[in-house]
Amino acid sequence: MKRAWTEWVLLALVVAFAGCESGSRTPSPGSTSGRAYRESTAEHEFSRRKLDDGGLAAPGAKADPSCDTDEELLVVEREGDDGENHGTGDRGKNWTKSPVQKPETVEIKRPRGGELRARLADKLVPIPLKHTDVKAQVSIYIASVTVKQQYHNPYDGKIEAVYLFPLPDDAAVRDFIMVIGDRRIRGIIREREEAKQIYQEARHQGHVASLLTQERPNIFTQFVANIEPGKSIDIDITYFHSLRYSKGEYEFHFPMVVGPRYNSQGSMDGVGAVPTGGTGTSGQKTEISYLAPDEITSNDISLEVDVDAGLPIEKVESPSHIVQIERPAATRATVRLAPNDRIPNKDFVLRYRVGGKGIASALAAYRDKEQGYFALVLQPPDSLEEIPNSAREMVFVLDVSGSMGGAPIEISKRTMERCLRRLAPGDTFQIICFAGCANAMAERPLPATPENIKRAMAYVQAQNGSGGTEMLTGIRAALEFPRDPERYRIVSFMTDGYIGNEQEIFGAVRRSIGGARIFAFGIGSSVNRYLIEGLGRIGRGTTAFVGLDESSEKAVDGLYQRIEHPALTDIRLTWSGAEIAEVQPETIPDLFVGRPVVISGRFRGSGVATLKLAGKIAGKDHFTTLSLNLDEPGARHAALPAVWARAKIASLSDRLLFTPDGADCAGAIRGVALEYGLMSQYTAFVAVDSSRVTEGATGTTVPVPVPVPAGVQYETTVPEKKK
Amino acid sequence: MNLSDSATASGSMDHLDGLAQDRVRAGEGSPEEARHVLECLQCKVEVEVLRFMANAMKDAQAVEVPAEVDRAILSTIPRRRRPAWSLLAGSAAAILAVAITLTFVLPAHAVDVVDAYALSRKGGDATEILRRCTAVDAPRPRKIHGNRFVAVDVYVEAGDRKLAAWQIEINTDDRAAIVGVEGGAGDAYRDPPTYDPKALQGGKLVLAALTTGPAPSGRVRVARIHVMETEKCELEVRLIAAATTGGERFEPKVKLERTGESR
Repeated sequence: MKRAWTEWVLLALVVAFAGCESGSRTPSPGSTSGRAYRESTAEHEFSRRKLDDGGLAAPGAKADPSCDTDEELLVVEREGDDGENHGTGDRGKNWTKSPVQKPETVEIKRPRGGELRARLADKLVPIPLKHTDVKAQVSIYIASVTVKQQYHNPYDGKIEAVYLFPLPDDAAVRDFIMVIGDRRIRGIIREREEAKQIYQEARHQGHVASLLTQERPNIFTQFVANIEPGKSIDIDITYFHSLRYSKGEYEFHFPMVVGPRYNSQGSMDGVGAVPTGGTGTSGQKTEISYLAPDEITSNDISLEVDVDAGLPIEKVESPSHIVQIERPAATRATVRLAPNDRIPNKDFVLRYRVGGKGIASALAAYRDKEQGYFALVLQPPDSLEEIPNSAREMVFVLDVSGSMGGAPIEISKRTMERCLRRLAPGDTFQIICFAGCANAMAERPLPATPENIKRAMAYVQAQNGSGGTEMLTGIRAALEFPRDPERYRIVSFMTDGYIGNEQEIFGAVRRSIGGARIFAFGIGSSVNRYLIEGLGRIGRGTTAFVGLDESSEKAVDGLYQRIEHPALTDIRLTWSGAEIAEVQPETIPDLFVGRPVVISGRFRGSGVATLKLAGKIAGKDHFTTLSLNLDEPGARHAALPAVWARAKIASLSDRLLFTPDGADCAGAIRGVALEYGLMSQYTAFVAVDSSRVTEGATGTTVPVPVPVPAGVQYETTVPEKKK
Repeated sequence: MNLSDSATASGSMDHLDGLAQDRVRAGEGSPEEARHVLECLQCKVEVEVLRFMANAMKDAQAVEVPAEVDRAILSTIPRRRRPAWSLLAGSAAAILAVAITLTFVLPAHAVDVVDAYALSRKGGDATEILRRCTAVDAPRPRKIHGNRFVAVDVYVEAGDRKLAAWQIEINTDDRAAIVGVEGGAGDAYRDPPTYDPKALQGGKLVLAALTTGPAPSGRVRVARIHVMETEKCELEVRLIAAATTGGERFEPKVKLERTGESR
């Protein structure tokens, strides 16, 4: 496999140098790329046309007029446009609402900015990913999402496409279909190494094949081998994931681009950011190519979410994108991306508020031939809202690294300002800023006096985003200074989470957390939710996300609403009346005001199960008993086995980090993933079309470059392209 | 850190008591306790035994052990010199009963860990046996390089009946691995049928599909499976069930036909 990776890297370098005349670029010292380039070009005999950077020639002059003339295909967003008669996907067409069913209400909402705008003289980079189509169906609080990636070979030689893309960090990826014309081949879940070897063997023998691997719970790599010139191959990926819920509002999100990660010196297991054509230069195992500000591609995305909430939907909105909303019934909504907002450079976020007491069904269950699965929403006790919390020691940890430069740091400042204004007179606070190193505003936490708050605001305003993201130093600074025994410590992170050493961070938090709680704010258009959610989970707190076009007011108020009242802690569950097993998560998180927790498990038998929930509120014992009819749950959902299995894998992955019996956990993860047909760090999907062998050798590996996330400055996050 | 003051087979020194060992096993021990286990062979062996027992118990079914069997098993257990085990005596007896019973049905490595334990009690070096018995079971090695890929069509001979539903089972052996499942010919069965990933791990592929639209008759290609094989091998197929458009069960013939080979 190592050999195979080397080969990909070398072949990718061919792409990097493909647009140059022979000898116009010098391979990096000590590398063999120059030799590999000559051998590879001799082997494949591509006829190339010169592009400004690293593309192979498209077959047929019509395919890419920009290549001949340097005149670029333009997509220009005009200020003040009303959302009609423009856009990348349906240029020249009017954006009309669905004629099929007359909606009750139709809204077109456009957020402020966030669009990636093409400019004159931009370079159109031909890439093998033509389009991504996302279709999601939301039922109760579970989304079933199918992502269709449409690959196309625009070159005149055979290629292997490699695309690093994100999915939600709790996505239970359970189906994978390779589509060749009208033929559909369902992929097989196998152990990761075996799947990679099968893929490589099929690729070398000339078969069209595809492989899907997981690099992080929220980062995946798609490989598609032997795409012939001018041919198209689609990949359909299906996953389930649970929606976030807070105070009557659900949130569905779909990430569109992996943000550039910072990797500490000496790290090789991170995610490296490279410019187009720079594959193999980051020194990291996983790499992502970013388009420079003057580069564009024709790749775009369409997305449709069909919500069946089960309760009347009061409000639907997307704070991230321009959308069209149809309301075929009071409990349903269909949301589509507008054609002028289809650049995949930011997370799609959809929020909807339901009426009544909030969450639709407390208990959902599903039974297969062997056993049953359930998901249960644990609501925080109503009494929490009546009990005030004790004094707090607030520690704000602000990411001021290069990736936060520009819009994200400004949002962080606004968020900080609101947090400072909401401090209570008895609180103390500290501010720690980290980039390449960590700096505290004061030697020790300060009382929340008006003077100190004013001083803190000035300190925050003076921050600018630059430098690396040594988050470990920020965590140590926030968690390891002596604790005030009179107050309980709340650590609030504000970051985009663009680091490659998530597991190291989780380990450090676990070791140092003590009695503190972490409330993490993810700030930006495409934050690393795996990191942010992990900080909240391991730090026994909660999380919130603030996009570029959002006010941070709601997120901050949500935080203060939670910390102004004690949580239900040390939760223990006791079951009787049915055989309940393997409840996930293994350690039930604290229940905060306005923030229920969903647990899932397996059961045998039928009838009524009794759940006794015991915990502590402000040090006092609290007990609740729930009666659950497993035969007549509030809802039934066929995705529950996969959702449970994904939660089990997440629990095992956490245990893998923190226990010495790592081998046992790895084996258990592999076992669960193979049994339930799910992606994991140890399993992968592979599909081979064995009915036909394509002509010629294996083809050139072409990574799919992506835009940097909206609001992120390319210059401060992607290494300069070597001339 | 709970250290017992009992002597060991290899000399007089402090060791973790049973509760501390179990904490280390569960990943909840203190750094000192974890370090001690790393450095002390005896404690390491005993933690491994606890781990083995815990793992065995995970999959063990509740079994009634007759009293005479229980007594016979207990009589084979040497008396422990350290007080730690006495704390766990009640539960340990039951655990050991199951564990020892399991050694007769579990794979060889389960016996090895007991051997390691016995050896260490006699003062021997159990490191090598421990290494073997803590290794994760590797999947059956499959030769990947130099394999060939072949497409196999699945036909159902429906005759003059309309094929509305079918379910088949295909068995593979070590020489073949399924690398893709494709739909059949015609609109009715164009979508690839679903498979049970759990069954596939055991080399069995169970496929099923139905159509509520127009159903085909005659010789119907219902699916194509893509196979990687180390050498030419015959796959076994059998019909599990089939139905006509009226819902009537019938037993058509099922056939596999190779359609293309890469080598």
